[in-house]
Amino acid sequence: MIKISNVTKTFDDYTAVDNISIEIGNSSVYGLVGYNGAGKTTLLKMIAGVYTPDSGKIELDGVDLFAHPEKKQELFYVPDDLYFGAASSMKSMAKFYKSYYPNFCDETFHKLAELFGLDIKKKLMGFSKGMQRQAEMVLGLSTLPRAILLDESFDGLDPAKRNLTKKLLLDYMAEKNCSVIISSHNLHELADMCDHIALIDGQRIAIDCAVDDMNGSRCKFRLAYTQNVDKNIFNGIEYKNYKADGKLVSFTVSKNIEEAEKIIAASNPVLIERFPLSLEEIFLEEMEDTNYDFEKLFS
Amino acid sequence: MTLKSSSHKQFTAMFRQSAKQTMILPILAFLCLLFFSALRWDFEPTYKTFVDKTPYFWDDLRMLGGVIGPANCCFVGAGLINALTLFSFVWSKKHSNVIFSLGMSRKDIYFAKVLGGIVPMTVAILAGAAVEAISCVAADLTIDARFWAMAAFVTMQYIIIYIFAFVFSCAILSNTGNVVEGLIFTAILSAFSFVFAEFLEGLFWGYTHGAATMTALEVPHPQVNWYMPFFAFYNLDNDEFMTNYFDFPDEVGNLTVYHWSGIIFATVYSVIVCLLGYIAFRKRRNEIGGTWGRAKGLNEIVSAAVGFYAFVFVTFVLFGAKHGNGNIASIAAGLVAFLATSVIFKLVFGNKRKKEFVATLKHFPAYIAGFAVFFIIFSGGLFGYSSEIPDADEIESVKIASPHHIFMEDALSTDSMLALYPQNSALVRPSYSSFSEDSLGYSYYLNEIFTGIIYSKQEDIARVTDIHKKLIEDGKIKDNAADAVGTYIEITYTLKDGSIVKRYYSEATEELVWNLILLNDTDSVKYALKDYLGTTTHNTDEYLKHLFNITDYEEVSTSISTQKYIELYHDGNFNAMSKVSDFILNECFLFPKDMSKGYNLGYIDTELYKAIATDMENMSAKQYYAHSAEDEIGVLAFGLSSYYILDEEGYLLHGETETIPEGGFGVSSWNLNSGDTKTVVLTKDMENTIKYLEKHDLMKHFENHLDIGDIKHVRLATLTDLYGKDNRSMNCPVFYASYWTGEQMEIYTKPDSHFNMYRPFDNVDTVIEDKTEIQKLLDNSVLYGFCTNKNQIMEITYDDGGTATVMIQ
Repeated sequence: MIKISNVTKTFDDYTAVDNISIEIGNSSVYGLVGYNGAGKTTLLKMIAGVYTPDSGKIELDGVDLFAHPEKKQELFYVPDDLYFGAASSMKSMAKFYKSYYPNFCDETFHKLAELFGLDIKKKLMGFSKGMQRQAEMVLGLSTLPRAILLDESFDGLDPAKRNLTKKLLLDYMAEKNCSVIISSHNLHELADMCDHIALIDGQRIAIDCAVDDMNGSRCKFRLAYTQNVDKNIFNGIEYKNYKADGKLVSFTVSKNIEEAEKIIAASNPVLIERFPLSLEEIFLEEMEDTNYDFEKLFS
Repeated sequence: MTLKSSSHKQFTAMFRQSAKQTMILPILAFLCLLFFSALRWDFEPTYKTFVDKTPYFWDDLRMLGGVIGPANCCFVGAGLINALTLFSFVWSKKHSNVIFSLGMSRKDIYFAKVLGGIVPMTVAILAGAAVEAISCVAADLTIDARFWAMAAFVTMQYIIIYIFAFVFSCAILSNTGNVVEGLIFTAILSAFSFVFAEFLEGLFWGYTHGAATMTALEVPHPQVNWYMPFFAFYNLDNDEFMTNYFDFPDEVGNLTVYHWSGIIFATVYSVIVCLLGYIAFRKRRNEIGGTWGRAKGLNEIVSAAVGFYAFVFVTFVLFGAKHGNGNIASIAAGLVAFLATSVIFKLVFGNKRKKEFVATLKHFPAYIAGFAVFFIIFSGGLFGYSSEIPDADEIESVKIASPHHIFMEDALSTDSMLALYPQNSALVRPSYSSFSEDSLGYSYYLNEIFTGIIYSKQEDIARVTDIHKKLIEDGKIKDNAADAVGTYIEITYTLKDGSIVKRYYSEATEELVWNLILLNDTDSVKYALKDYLGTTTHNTDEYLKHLFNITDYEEVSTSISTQKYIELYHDGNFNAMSKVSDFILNECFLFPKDMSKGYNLGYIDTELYKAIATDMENMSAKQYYAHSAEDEIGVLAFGLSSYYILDEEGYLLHGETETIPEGGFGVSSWNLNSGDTKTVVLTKDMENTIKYLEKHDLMKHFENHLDIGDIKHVRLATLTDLYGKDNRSMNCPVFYASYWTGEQMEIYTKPDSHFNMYRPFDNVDTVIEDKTEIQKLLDNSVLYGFCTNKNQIMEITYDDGGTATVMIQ
């Protein structure tokens, strides 16, 4: 289990991560979502020990990773920008990682390489971006980590390899009872994989909940009336993204859905439609306040 | 396997990988060392025939340029390159992601890489040393404890130079944001020790009366090489300890803890620098990787260092504070330079420039306070340290080295031609690049010109301490004081407990210098003079003894001869040959008072030599330094020329006649150590010399060739007029005459000549052409003597364009 407690990181005057606390359980795939610059990569780099937090604590299975860096031998970080030595191959990189990760498994390495169809003797610099990502994933999983950190790791993968990678990760998680943290912009992908999602907004955690809970707790209503209706008839509902188009009205609700349904029913709509929110819609809903007013932008 | 135990494996893995990454340079180093060892595998005649089969250890390599030579520069360069190789990862975000996310502490990462950079090169040097040692043993050279000591010393020297350069580079590079920043910061900070030495020297000479050091390198103990390994090793090479180590074992002694102190301090400094580098690395914010100007701490240090360099340059060099002109204005100018340079540096290298600018201004008072502490301490005499005079009953002996000892002065130029203008203290100012102590215990750079005289008799010591007390009482003398003169006085007390107290002074009153000159009448100086004139100086004796196994001086004149030289040539003993040549290139020239033409007497014989020696021993300081114009006859000059060249077979040829001159080859006592000219002004007081010259009908050569009719005009000025009151290096109160022929003047004053020289009399407008007046001046002129600020110097310009300078009494 990874436990992040009150972690803050500043770059000069800029606060990249502001007092974040989250827990990632064992056998859990945890998705980190947020705008560019929200602090996702910074958070992952702090977990990996690349950056040192200004304050707060990061623990793996109850062990403080900065007080006991050797614990990071059970953690593997797959960064967005991959690094391979100028003349290195998967084989030489495996040799390198084997020196530093005591659980590195040659058998797993060879099996995975074969599964992805990667030539372990070929120079990695000659690999495509997607192949390099696959290679890094193979190397990472071969270390048999207790936790694996993936920063935009599905970028550049073709759909087949993407599915394969996802499946592998889920299998590995289930098998080894490990924690997986994925940072991604691809919300559909996260929705497919993650059992838990954290949304970082303004360098803080805006949402941190299980995907199932998220789906049940938020919905979108589309209503039709016989005549134009006043917004005030929805008083008592905490709605967002309110849109009225003549006799048609739509909005999203994230709290007290049952109470909202009663108020809606009382307004006598001719049609009530209720939809679960997709992750992308939740993301956009949360970011609503930061949206630009494009009409004013060029006026 | 526990995580702890596996972390040891990780350390080993990183160490191994680092060693592998840096392996190429150690391999190259080993091959180079092997090459220099191989040079002696075909042993040249030198090695075969050299007395005692003296072994050298990597001598060819060391002789390539000593410690500051290519070998050492290569080791320094290797240190920098290997540090770059191992720590360049910090500049790459991608690469540092990999390294820092490994399950290793920063401590392990840092030290594994540092060790990985140190061990292969150390092994390579040790392996090279082993090959060299085996070569020496195989060559059947004299292998003894001294050999092994020197072998260990030289080996350790190379190792520690590499290590220091490497850890220093690691410490800086690992804490910067990009390669340019890393290299620039390393270059800037590597100059710090040199500039700091300038700073200390400037404080001593510019602000402390009674400088406790000459070069700032000898604090706190002149024999301890505390300052920098580079200096320490250079020092040993510079004073020829290394080259004399095997040649003159009895003379130079064994390697002592003082010799090793350079290596010991370098080791200590390496450890300290390495630890500082680690502390910074542990706290390093990795986000600075690949960025510019965000290594805040280092930026502050480097900008302060650059400002400090500017301060030292402006205060001590531009404003001349280092030469005794220290004042508040020079400090203020230095502070302005400091601030300006620091700010500019931060504007160029900083990240948030406006903020950096404000921060610099905020830090400025702290820096001023730092400088103030230094200046107050040094101006105040280092809490009484600079004015310390040991109690008389504690003093074993005291040595004074100054330009005021009778037998080391050159009345004329050291040039093969007589020099143009008063060549007084411009010649005698010691240069900064020289070092204070040689292995023989002489003060090295002063010894180049002044021999230190050791006063060990109680009454002589009392006279010296009285002079020293007066120096302290006089305090720092203002530049414009009427009786202020420039000089260099080094006083070294050896106390009964073996410790040393050494002080330097760069200015004094005329009265004090005259008192120093009167020390020439003490028994200590007379004894030293006798020793010097007797050619049995410590150096020479040991030198000859070692070269030719000579113990009896009488044998010297027959051993050091052209014939001997030729024999050595045929024996193929080039080493000994070159040493003999130092001894035989001596001739005596007789010059009249007008100095226009000399007579070449050839090599002096023992009789003349003894006559001169006896006269000089008998003369009082007053007779030598303050003789009257009418007592002055001419000049005896020795070693003026190096006319002798070798023909193809190694025979000596006279440069002018191409024949070896007739006459015996006596050994000149004046020129044992170099080709420098030594001169004696002949006065009527030198009865024995005159008797010899009369006996051999040589007095006629002292008749002037030029007379009043040949003089075009003269000009008059004091030394102060010529060189300024504040130019202490030029107003040492001893005058030396000079003469240049018209032909030489023509060469040296041609506009297109690369020999163009400064002619101070060009600024003197008043020209005297009246023959009566000139004659009157000539009647009162001397070639040599004590010269106060009131004494006038006369430049004589002859009709043929030649010039001479004399002093008017």
